[in-house]
Amino acid sequence: MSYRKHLGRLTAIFILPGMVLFAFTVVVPALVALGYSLNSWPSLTTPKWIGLANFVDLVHDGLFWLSLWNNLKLALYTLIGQVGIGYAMAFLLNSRLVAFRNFFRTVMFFPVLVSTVVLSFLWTLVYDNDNGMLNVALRALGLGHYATAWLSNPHIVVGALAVPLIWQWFGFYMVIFMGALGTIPKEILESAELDGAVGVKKALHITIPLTYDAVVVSVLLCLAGIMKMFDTVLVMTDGGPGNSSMVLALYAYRVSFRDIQLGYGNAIAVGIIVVSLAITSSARLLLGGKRYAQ
Amino acid sequence: MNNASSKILTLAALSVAVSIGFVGCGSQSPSASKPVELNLLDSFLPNLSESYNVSLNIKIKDFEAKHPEIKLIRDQSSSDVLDTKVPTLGAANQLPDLFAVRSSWTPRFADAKEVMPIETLMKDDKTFMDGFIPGMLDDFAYKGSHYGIPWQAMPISVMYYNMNLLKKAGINKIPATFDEMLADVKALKAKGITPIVMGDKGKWQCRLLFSGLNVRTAGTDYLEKLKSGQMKFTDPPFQTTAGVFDQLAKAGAWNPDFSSIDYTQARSVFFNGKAAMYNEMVTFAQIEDEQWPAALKSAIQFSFFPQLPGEDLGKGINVPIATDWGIAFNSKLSGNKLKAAQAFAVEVLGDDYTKVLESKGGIGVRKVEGVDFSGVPEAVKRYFTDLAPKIVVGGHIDGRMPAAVTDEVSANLQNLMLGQVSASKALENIQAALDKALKSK
Repeated sequence: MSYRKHLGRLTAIFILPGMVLFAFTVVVPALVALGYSLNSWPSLTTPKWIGLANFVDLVHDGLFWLSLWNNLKLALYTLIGQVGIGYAMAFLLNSRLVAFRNFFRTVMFFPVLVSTVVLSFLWTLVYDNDNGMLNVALRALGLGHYATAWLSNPHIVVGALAVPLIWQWFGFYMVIFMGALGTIPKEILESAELDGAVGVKKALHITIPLTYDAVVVSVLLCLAGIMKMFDTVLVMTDGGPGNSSMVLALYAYRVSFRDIQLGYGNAIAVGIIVVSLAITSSARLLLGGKRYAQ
Repeated sequence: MNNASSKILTLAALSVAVSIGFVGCGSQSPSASKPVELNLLDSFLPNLSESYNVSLNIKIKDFEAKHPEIKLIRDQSSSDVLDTKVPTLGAANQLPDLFAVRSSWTPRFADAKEVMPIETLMKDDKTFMDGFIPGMLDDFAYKGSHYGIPWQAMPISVMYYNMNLLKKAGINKIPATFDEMLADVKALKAKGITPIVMGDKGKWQCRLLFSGLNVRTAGTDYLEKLKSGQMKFTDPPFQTTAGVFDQLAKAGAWNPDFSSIDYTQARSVFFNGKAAMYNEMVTFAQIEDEQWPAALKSAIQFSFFPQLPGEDLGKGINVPIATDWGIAFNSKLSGNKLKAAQAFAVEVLGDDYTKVLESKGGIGVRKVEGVDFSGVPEAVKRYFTDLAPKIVVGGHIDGRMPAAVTDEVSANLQNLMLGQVSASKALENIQAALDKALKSK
């Protein structure tokens, strides 16, 4: 047996357990969900085959599209917030300007380790209309006219939900970017400085291009995370007021487990998979990647 | 494999088979004295202080002590968890023998034939069946049978007033008509007092008021008429109801954060003297002794929502009575298990339970006499003397409509209260959800 063939077989053996696990935890459930989505299944009765009727309903379901729109708005806010602030902080902590770097890095990463449900509850208290930290601070600063019921205002509720998400997760992306920045060879940075590339010029022409792959990965992780957003919205607003902050995963949960329409709930879940794949694939295509990897 | 090895393997296999056989016999032999196992999935957690919860746990303990031949295997979760757990177990055809059930699930459980009609369960005990107050099983009614025994009745939509705050705004009595209420709301707003506090994060408080108004504008049987197509949410009675919400919203009646606080927070706002009115069930009166601040007790008055324009209250006042949750019985029960379940129904959910419940301020679903009311909160006594005699019983939307419809009601009422949708558009949306739910059924 040739070395290449032997290596191929060995690789397959090592990959197999992972593939089997992936198949049974991801592929099979997705296929089962697809199967159920082609049925009318109001809970306890036997599923009844209805073909694509659930998907026809889904296309005409205003709440599905509103939920998708809210997911997209959240994605925009968190991309700017999580990835943007994460990158800026990594840049800052990587510079020689900041003392106590490890301390700041730990503090900023800490929210990532805390339960989302706990953090969401804390932020609900921060946003409290009467005694919340935010409104109390605004009133104390003479900006009381800006104080509002943050989670009951349909025009700002999605933005209000984005803030705790940004606060919790920017530290995660900061760590990714710090890792990427650490891999840039010192020689390149020193050569750039000798050539007169300092400050913004160095960032634009050296640092950012050399960490571009980390940016692409972060954007994709951020998008994937937001498309399955559930816990923060459930705890803080439950999709309200009205359905102003409804998101796709919460809508699928509500239809499946509160309205007990398991067939339609699965159709929404399949819709989420399709939309998520489309968005992340588009982002991957737009952003490219590996461009500066050589 | 050689001969010796195969013999050893055969012997080993045989010995394993024989051992399993003995184990099987061992489990069979004491069957005569083995207690009947009855699985119960309930929400009666020991830390909850509601009168029904305390009373049910007392009766379950009594039942276990009285029946050593029955082993009750309890699985307890909060009602929020059961909202998901019970339908999921039902979908997997793994429902326990007895389980807590929401009345709004009745048609689905009944159609799936996974739940036994109470009439079948108690077919040999006519006295038990005749012991219910008329109408109290109706939340669990479907095609002529009933599929759950509720553990309490909740007259909903009672308006509570903090007279201290009303007096600050120059108001000396609770409003008798809706026009008076609107005037009071404006007077309270002018004084910087939140007129009505609502905690609708859980999305049921606005439905209480909606239901409470609907039975008065559309009659006690309006839910059945809506489901059968004889009425539509876009009809004039519901326009009147939605109009009440609309007018109150335009007058700035509610706290601005009504959709992001829950009912416990709303209660706190009312208790802390920051809102003059609060709409809840009679449950709020039942917690007088434990939770009402001492300084506020004498200042709290309550009544049903004020008289609506053109409403005739001469024959009494239509009030929705919600039972919401009950105990259902698995359709597969038979033999000793069925007998044990029948005993459970009579001894845990029957007359004795109702007496314990009502002596603690709860409201039962059975006709009982000789209840000791000495420990009942004063507010509940006031409820029984002042309000209960005027009640004409109606249904609550939560117990008799699919969840998809009640979700739509909440979403549209919240939007209406925020001025995001007109009253007529909100009703059109709710009717569309009902049409869709009836079609999918």
